[in-house]
Amino acid sequence: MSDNNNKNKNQNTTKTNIEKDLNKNEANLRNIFKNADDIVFRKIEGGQNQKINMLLVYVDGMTTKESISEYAVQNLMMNLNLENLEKSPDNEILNAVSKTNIAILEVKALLTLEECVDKMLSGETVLLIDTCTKGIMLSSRGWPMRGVQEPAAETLIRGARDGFNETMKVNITLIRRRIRDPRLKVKYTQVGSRSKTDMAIMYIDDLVNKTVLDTVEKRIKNIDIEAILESSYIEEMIEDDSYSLFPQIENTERPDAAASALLEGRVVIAVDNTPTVLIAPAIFVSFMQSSEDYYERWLPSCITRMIRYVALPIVMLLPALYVAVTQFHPNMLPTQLALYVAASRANVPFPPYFEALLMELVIELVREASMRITTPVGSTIGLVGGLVIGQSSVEAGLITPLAVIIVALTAIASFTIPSYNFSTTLRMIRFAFILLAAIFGLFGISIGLSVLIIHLCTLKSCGIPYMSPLSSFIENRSDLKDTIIRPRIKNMVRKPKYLQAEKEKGN
Amino acid sequence: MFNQDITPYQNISILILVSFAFQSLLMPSILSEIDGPVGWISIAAAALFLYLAMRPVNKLMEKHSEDTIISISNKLFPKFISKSIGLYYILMFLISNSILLKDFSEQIKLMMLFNTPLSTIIIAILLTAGYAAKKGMQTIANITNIAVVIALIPYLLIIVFSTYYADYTNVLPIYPADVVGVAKSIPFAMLGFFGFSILMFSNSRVAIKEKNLMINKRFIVISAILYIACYLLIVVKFGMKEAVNMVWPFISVMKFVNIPGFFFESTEIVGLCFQIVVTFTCICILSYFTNLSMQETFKTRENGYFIFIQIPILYLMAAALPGMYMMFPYIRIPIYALSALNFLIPLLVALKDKLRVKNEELRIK
Repeated sequence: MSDNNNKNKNQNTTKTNIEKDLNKNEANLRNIFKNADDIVFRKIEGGQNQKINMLLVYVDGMTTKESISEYAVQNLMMNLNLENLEKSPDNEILNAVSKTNIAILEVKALLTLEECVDKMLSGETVLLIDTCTKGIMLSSRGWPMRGVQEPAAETLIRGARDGFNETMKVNITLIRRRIRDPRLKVKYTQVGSRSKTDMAIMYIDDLVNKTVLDTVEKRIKNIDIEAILESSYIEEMIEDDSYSLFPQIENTERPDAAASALLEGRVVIAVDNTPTVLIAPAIFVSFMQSSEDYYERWLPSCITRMIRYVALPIVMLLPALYVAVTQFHPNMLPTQLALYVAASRANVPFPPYFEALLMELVIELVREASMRITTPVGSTIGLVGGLVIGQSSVEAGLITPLAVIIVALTAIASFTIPSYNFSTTLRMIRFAFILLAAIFGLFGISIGLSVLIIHLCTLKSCGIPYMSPLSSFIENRSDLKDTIIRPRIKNMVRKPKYLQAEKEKGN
Repeated sequence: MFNQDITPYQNISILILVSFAFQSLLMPSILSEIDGPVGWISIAAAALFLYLAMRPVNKLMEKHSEDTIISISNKLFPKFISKSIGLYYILMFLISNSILLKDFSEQIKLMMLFNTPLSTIIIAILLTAGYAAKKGMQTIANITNIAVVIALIPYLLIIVFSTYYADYTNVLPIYPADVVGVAKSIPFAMLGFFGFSILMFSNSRVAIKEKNLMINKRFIVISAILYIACYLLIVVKFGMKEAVNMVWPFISVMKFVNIPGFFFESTEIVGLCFQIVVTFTCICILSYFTNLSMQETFKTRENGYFIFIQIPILYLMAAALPGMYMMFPYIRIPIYALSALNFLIPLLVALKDKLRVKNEELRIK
């Protein structure tokens, strides 16, 4: 597929040259693909005047048979005309075959059997000719694929309905359609010693931060793994701190979001067999932004985004605040509310922290259960879990109605966070805050927040501080306008300063 | 971008934040020295002295742009003097940090955690601060900027709504001013500009060093405005007599803030949560610069692990020391000495550097 395929450390590097004897080559290939019944070996005799033995090899189900039979086999059998085949150098034979007899766009010479195997497994057809020490790759990729559909996890009211699918080239096309700029670069590479998964690193040449690009390329090159089954594998292996709970690489299934990231000067990584592309670098505020923010009118979008920022502390801290206030600082509450809380807690056997932990655990169980089963049943489980368990727990006197309200509000707030993995992180952190509140009250929450801030300030994404532009808000003040608020499109002329983008929009 | 340098504005945030923490703590000590509400004159005078000192100090630091005050001393003075300067900064940072730690922990215990032992609170703060200090300069600078963002709005609200029901006649009379009292309280006011000692270290870590003089001058001006605003707020809110006996007046102000529509009964607890982030950041900054002083004095490469030496020392000092408000009557002379040394050491180093250059020029001639 590409010349710059990186070779993984544990990849077999021995090379077997293609022999002049076609039978030997066939035997070698059959040996490699022993017990692989989906490999098709098709022997043909080509040429008008002389019989030239040829072998077509491909993986059944991964190729478009029609194009090979129509544009290659037919011509080779009927029209091939090679004089003095045995005396001709390989190049001439290859040229004659590929230039005059094969009406397929992408054709490439192959030097070794390993190359032939790699191409076959990628869905190409390999043509071997008797007496010729080079093979020919005939582009024939074609397998059943999902159509371009709206991504289920990133639905919008307004905006494009197309989403990435599992075929990398389709995904690249969807991005290219949005950025018709020759400066949009796509670099192919392969990762995985067994899976040999195709990947594409995309960036806009004059916008990307070269240091970030180098970092990404270097990290991908250093990946030493057997198989890549999803882009999350790459994500985990190229992020700066894989022990952190916070995601440091953004992901999306939306081509418009990927195109927007490219236009900001970020790097997009598309991985074959997954509809999720990766975006690097990612910063804290980018996880709070949704594509729709830019498609709706700016003022409502601005308010919506601010509401999301209000939801952020609710997701992380509300149950912990409930625990801290009821257990340590009831004097903070207005008198009437304090009396109500005291009265409702009178018959509850558990301390507030246990109550909060219990309810949070129930919510997580319901959430996990509804995700593991089919959609209609999943929503029923959600309803049953939410309503029945909540209602009956209150009636049984196990928890207070206030705790149910708090937990429900927290769960709803967590759905407002646009990024699923970021929202998951916040949900996990909530448990730590509940425990801290149970030990130290509001002081514990403050200490927890301080640790969180320290951790976030230490994090980097491909070398870019994770808390940019907030961590250097005076220098990068121009970037602040697209953080908590969403400015008007015409005011978003400059590229993010924290990325040190090299040219401004329009150049 | 990929190194440990900080930006000029991150530097100014560090300097202002550290100073603010000490200013709010030192307020009663200034008030106790003066007979009358003219402490703001002491603050303005202290600011003026420091502002004037900025030029020679920055000239020195510009010349030795990658060096801190300790490493410059190493170059200019005999070993004994340079080591003494290094040890002085280590001790000064340790004492200041432990005082801050102790007083703040006491406030937390008084306002939030009546039943929790003080030592538990101190350890919790220390361990968290240690985690930050070990992460390095850039993390400290990032935290400071975030802390400023977090604390800015609540602080503004507190200051604005504190002016309700305040007695503005408390700032009078200005004349006749207690001149002796003002002069005596200048060292206390000067200690409030704690960032002056910090910049001797932080300037060398700034990416764009040409901006250091401008940033340092701005720090003095902004800090002086904050200091005076804070002072006047406390005087109008509590009056002289009451304010003198307060442990941490700025935190006490929060008790009396009445924000319209704010339904929580105890505003001070909410305010204290933000103050925790600010003071905690200040403790992190001080811990980091203690580490740096240790590194420079003992000439070691890695400074992160010095925090493991600091934590037990700080804990013992914080546990052993009485609170600042209890020490006021007994620490006048140490405070005078501390202020004088903080102010004079950089100037003496600058003077020595200048003399050395002159001597070299004479020798060449």
